[in-house]
Amino acid sequence: MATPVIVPDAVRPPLTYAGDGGALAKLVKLNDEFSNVLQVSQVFVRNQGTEYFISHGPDQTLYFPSDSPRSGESRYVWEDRGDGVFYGTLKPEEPSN
Amino acid sequence: MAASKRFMNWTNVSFTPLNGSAAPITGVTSIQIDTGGNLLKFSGDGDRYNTTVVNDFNEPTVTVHTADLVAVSSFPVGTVGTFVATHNDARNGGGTGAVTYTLSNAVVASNPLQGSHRQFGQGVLTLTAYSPDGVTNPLSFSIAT
Repeated sequence: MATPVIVPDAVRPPLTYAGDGGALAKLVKLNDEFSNVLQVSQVFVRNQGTEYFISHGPDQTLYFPSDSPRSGESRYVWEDRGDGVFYGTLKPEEPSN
Repeated sequence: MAASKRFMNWTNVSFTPLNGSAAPITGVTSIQIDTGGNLLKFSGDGDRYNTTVVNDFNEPTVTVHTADLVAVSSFPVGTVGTFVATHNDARNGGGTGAVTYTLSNAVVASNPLQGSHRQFGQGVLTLTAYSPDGVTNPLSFSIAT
């Protein structure tokens, strides 16, 4: 898969995207592909139950925190690249309204 | 050299308190990483077995055994921070194949110390974690290539 023109801030592939094999093989596959997509040397992978949430650092979250006025709102704008893998671009931190 | 797919020894173990600097934890003899799923089981009517079993909740925990009593006692219960540890590749050490575990928003759950006659003292640091949005897994994995 070609690297997108706009570098996303995060990626959400389904668990099945990592393929068969052990946890290590899956981690290698995810790192190999999505470190190129995110243009970092190493990605941080979280198992979200039905999908992975992958970003360039360990502290990113999918949603604004529960103590934020934007609690429950996604921190990213997600776009399906066409195969069930979503690329996310961070929204501005300021309130959207 | 290709990853051996085997792991041996922990390195770069540290806990960084919120708004603090990284404190290394040395003398680590073992670490347990637990993703902490919780199963809810349903049965009813004349069922003799569960008809539905789901993992409804996850509570990741990390348990560190170490001879570094100073480090363990430096983190009182309730201290919030980020825990990092690298499980070395058995062949390449911290190089290709080493897996780093990061527990964000980690909270010290317990930190007992113990010592026995003619034995090295040992501390056991147990960390749980919270998720700021209630959805994002605070435990992440990364691999060295």
